[in-house]
Amino acid sequence: MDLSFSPEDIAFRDQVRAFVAQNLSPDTRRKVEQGRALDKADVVEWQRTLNRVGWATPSWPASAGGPGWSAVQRYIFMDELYAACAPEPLSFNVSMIGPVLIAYGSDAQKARFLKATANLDIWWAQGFSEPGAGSDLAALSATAVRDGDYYVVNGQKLWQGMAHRADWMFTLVRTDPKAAKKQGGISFLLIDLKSPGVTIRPIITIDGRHEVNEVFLDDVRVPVGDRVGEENQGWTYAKYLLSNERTGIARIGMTRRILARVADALASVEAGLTEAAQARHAVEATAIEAELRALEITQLRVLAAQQAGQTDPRSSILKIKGVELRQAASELLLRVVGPAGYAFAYEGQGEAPSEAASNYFTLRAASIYGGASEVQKNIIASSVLGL
Amino acid sequence: MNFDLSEDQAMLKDTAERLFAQAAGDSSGDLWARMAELGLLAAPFAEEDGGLGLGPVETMILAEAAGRAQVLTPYASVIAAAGTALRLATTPPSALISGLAGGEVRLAWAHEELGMPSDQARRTRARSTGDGWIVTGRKINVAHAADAARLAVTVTIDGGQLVLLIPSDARGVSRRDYQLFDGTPASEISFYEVTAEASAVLASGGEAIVLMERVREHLTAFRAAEAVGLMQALLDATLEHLKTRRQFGEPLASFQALRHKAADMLVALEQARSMAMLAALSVEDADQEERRKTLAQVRSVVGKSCKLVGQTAVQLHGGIGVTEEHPVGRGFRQLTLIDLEMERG
Repeated sequence: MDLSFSPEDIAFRDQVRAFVAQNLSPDTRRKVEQGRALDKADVVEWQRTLNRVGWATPSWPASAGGPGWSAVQRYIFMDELYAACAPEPLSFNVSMIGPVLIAYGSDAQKARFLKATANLDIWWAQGFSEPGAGSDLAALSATAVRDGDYYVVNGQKLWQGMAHRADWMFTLVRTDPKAAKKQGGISFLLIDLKSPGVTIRPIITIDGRHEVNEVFLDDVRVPVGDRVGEENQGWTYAKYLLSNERTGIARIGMTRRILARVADALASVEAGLTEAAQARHAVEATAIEAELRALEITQLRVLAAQQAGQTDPRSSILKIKGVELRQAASELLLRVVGPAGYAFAYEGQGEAPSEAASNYFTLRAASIYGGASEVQKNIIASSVLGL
Repeated sequence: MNFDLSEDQAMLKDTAERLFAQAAGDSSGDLWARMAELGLLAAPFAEEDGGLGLGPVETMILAEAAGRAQVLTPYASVIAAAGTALRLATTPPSALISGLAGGEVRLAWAHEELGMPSDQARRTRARSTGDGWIVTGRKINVAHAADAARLAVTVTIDGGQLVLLIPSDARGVSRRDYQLFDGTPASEISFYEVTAEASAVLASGGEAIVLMERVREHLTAFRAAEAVGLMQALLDATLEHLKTRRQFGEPLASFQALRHKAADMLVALEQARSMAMLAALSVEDADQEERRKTLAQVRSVVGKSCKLVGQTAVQLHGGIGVTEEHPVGRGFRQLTLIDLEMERG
């Protein structure tokens, strides 16, 4: 049992740290540090900066154009990004669709999409949820009907993160409504969002931001060549995608960043806290930090198991506890910032003095998306505890 | 012992609920004017000042009804805060109270400052000119200040504190408008060498300190009742959602984990409701120490309930609970602000 990194890993960490320090724009850094929304240009610029040295796609194997890092190196890389207030590589591209194309895409799809996906020449949106299919994703009802070399797609997708910035959407549609199980009969399609019949409607969330959307698909013609893998096998690919989404979902570095803001706010004269409140908040911050430390070790244990090639249902622990701690830290920040953080600005109305409230509201969704906490607990109960 | 409303109180509740439900559905009308017409603004003031001479229980009824309908009214700032300051001053300014009660004039309570716990002496300062005062300082989050003709301003002077009534358009007063995250219009107000006559002093010395505390107490009682209405609205919406939303072939209401969370919401709501009642029944208590202790307990319980009910309502609604257009999302933000206010005192 040994918690220390190898000399090679430490050298790697120093290399990443130096690169980020030299290449991250100060404005992007400031926005991430303060929890502010990033412009599309900020995200694209950073992704391309990383891609120039082959680091934009940490989890991709070398054979697919990725850096071919070990799980420990990926962990170190992400940890350094968080610590330096750098954005993560765009998860829709890098953690979601990329690995699916690598594992299940045709050679033509790989040739067409992988490089452009890594360089963010194509911005992907995820088109999974629907009004009637949230936690119960397999209940989805968007349909694709074969018409020669095309599918004709109809349906409504919901909660498409950043779809208004996206060029393409990977989506799940029902191709065999008569399949015996609802998980059968689903196919995985790639849809060009410029196609006729695609309508994107913004949804403003309680944090005042426009990040998610509704996407309406009306008789959208999708070439059969834009289906990933086999017809009616889409659920398999979706499960693979969701399991990738869940790794690294503890977002420990992000929580640590919020705690750094808590420490700043506690020291600020603007907080105007009574001594009793200050002491109480400091104790709370210490408690969150302790739990975060535990989660970090838990994450490394899961990582070690993954390194050994095992899948680990304990990753649900990372999601549940990771979200809980991020939410707790953001709530603490809101309480510490106090009246200086009551002012609110909707996206497009300029910057509010503090993003504490907006961040707190944003993070309430974290226990809902990517497998709600209730769903994760069911997974633990059945897959880990055998109940 | 009885917790029942009198016949008049039940009528008031009915009137207020109908008015606010209507206002929630159609925000085009002038809600404040309607409230004035129905006598709601006059409720807590003495009859000789043009008021109805009603008490904190009636105020609780109004606040709860406003919360239940999720309407944002200036009542807390204008009547519960500034109005309390006028009403409980040693010499209540009768003409001004009558204007306030009739809806002809509005005041705002300009107390909060950046970096100052709410129970400490203000950083906004006034210096004496012999026959008046010159005020310099800055207030933040002054709710509904844009519509206020006068500001009730708390200031520190050499050897004490004052509550001053300053016209909003006085020379040296400047305002920056924004909104709070619950949707309330608010302002940062700067005072630069603002001249106030001696007659602008509403309270001074020990009276000013007492007045500030009484305002905080009445605000606590009002906001606690408003929170109870909001929590009821969110619980109702959540139960409706659990009964109608289906996943995995069943209504959400059939999942025990979710049923238990709904039950927790009710427990928290009822604890808060008890405290809102206790606040109304204690806020005019003559025993200062007893009042102080009770209202601190009210803040503790109500704040916790706001958090639990708000967060759980959003979680049980899933995605739609975090959207701007859904009442639960907005209600959660309203409850969050009350929670923070309760914690700050």
